[in-house]
Amino acid sequence: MVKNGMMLGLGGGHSRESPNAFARELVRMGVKDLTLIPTNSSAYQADILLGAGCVKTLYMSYVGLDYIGAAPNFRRLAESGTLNIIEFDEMGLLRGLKAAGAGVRFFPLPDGMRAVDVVRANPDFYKEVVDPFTGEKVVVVPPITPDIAVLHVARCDAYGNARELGFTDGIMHMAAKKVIVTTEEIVSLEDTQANYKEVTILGRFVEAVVEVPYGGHPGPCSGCYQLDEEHLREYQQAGKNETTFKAYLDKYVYGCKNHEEYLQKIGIANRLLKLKYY
Amino acid sequence: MFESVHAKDYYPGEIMAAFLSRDLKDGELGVIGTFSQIPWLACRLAQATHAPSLWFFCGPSAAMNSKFDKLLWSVGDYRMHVGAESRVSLDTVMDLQGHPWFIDFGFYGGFQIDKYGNLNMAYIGDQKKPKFRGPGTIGTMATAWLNRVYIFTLAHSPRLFVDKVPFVSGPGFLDGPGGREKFGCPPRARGPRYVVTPIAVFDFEEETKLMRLKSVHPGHTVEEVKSRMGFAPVIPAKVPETEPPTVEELVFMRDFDRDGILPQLIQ
Repeated sequence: MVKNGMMLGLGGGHSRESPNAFARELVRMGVKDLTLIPTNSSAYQADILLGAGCVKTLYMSYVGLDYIGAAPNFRRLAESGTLNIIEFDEMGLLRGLKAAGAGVRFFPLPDGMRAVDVVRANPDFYKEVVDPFTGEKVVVVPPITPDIAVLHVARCDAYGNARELGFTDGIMHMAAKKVIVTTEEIVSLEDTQANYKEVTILGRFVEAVVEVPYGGHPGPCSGCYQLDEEHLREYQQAGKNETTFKAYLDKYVYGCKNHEEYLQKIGIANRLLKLKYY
Repeated sequence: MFESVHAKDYYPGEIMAAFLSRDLKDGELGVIGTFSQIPWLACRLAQATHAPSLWFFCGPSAAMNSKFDKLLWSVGDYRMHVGAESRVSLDTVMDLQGHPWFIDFGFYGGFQIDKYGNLNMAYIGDQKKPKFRGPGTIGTMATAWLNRVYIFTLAHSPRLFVDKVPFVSGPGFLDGPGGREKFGCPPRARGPRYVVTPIAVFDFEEETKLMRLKSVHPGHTVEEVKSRMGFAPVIPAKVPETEPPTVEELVFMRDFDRDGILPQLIQ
């Protein structure tokens, strides 16, 4: 479904519930020229696509590897001047997505926004207008509509009703034209009905549901497994230069035919299952 | 009741958390970020001591009043939901941050902080090809409109404390007196209150809005504090020592930080 040049939203929040297996698959497919809109606080899911050369333009308010530190490819590419970055703060990006999901022309931000330099660094998205009610100045952001948004969750039924703890996925899935959910487990409709108060992703928006166990690795998936610190440190080290990152991709992405081979390479018994106990 | 005795041996993160904790009042509500182990500990310490009804929530894990009883590396960790009282998605967090009174205080940082308490999380140098690329502005913009802001740092160096940040992610007093008003920050948002570092505490001089040394942690000197900054902070004639953690505070903090994160956090 994902094509070259598309505007792609990726869910998650910091390193958790991130569609990382999906990102690796895009790298394997060799997708190009994406406009990437990762979750407000993004990590591996954005950085690996950047490092593999899949991204032309990045909408970002934060890219880092959680408490591990800097996202290596993001930093390297940004400092080399080869990446087109659209600079946001957390609220501007989220309110842009919300405007798209709510079908309004723009979303106003709180007083004081004019003091934040993203307004000057990104004049195409932050505009100062006059509030018609008071005559005061107010900063507004336009709708941001990804062609496709991809989310990873712990539990989703076959109809796309998904439960997650809630960071930005709830807004992201309403903003996008199409939604793909990857899930640790496809649960029954009865399971959804028994827990309907926890459903945050509305199935009507969802185009495809894909069962991908450990689909968030090396990030954590809430209630399923913890972050793989050892792997993320290996990733961070590898991403510091192009050659070592190429070797990382050869080993963990191009060198694996599919997600199952990836999991075997990481080590199911000696690594992945251990992440379940903490 | 035992009489409070000050501890003699503690880590920098512990005196920082104890200082911040004492400034939080019962019944108030605060917001903390992701790499915010010290603010989390400060909130839990306040709850365990003088402010049992303090509220706090963390944006990244979406949990209100987490009762999880051990410090973790990431405050975005979903275990923060243990004992939580409500869940606040980022969309709700954004609503609450703009709300006129709901949040009393928040904790923020940056890879650069200047003499007016402005924070930089974005980049240094040319926007298209920066000399240094930071992770991004993320939630620091809220210092423009949150009622009370605490700045905390894990280092104290000239690279961190610069005369003027090239990019304002989190507005402090901007270009000095009247700066916040000029850019439309609401009057209730009073700007940064304290800057707490591993070796000292600063506040801001009322008339000039310049960063002013408030106290120096025991074992450090005014000279050392000055020499490790890229600008000269206001130094009053008398600078007291920061009050160390009490033994009771330290017992709570050591029990809460069973994995020994604070000692590793600040070298």
